Amino acid sequence: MVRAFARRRVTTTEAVDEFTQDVLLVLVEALTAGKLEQPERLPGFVLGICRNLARERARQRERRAALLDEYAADLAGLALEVPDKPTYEILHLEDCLSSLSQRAREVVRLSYMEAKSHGEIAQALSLSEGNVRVLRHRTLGALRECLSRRISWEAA
Amino acid sequence: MSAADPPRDTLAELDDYASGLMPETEADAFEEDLFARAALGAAPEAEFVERLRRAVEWVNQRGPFKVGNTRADIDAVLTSGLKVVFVDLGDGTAPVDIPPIAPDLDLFTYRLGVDLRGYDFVDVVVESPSGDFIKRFRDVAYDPGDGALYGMCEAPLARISFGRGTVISKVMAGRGAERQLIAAFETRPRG
Repeated sequence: MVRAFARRRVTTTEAVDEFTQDVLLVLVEALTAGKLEQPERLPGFVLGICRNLARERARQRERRAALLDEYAADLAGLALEVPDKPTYEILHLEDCLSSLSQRAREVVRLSYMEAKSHGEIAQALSLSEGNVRVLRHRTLGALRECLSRRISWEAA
Repeated sequence: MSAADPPRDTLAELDDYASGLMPETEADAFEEDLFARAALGAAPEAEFVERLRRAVEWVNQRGPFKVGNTRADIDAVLTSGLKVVFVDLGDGTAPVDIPPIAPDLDLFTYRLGVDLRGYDFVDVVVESPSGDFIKRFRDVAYDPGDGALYGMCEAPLARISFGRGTVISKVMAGRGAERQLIAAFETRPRG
């Protein structure tokens, strides 16, 4: 959800990663300091952090360096890292991607690896922005449906 | 929501939100709802997109993000430091036994000896010996140099696919509306 928030506001994968890390850093700091007294308010608390950070990004750049020094160890447990070995989910995705058209695979790559905008993807694939939106929605739906089943080789 | 309204496509909504296509007037309320549901583990669309992103990143790190490779792609992974095996599946005129896949293998690579130069599109349809559909590889790329199909996949996936028994992989290719069977490759696990 934090990444979705960031993707709406910044344009590169690196910037999304940086924003997400910033939110986690501030969250860890706040939790460590006991600033969240009512756990049921965590969602609003995190969203508040996101919104504040979005408004104060320039100032946060300096703060981030200091926080990283202090909370780097805590972050290790929170970060959603790419695994070292292929998980069943990764194998499943590889299987599902091969069933998509090349154009749909390109939309996935440009969207999730390169964090390209609709406009940039449209230009790269010689499509209208509206068509990119429809293609991405359909591709996401197809992948979700495919990943909800077993790997094709197992299911057959 | 009335009975006539279609069900919400939360994945499409999240995509519109994240890509900036959702108007600001709707985005604030969407954010509130998304974060509240995510905290309760009730935002499967957000979890799905995050899992997809990580998996895509992994696949992309491993090799070209496409189906079908070139000889150069294969040569690159053979010298990458990963443990890679290469199997030539011949030209489809005789069954090929697939050797056991070592437990520590990273990537399984292979070549199908066809010449697809000049074709606009290529699909590979995999079936059981009795003709039951298993899967279809769409828009497969071939090597422009020799027209052959080269492929690579994670070793665990190769273990699942080649380990299931004898399969027939039909290479279908076409130009415009024309579409034809180019070759069929029978593979079976050795032993």
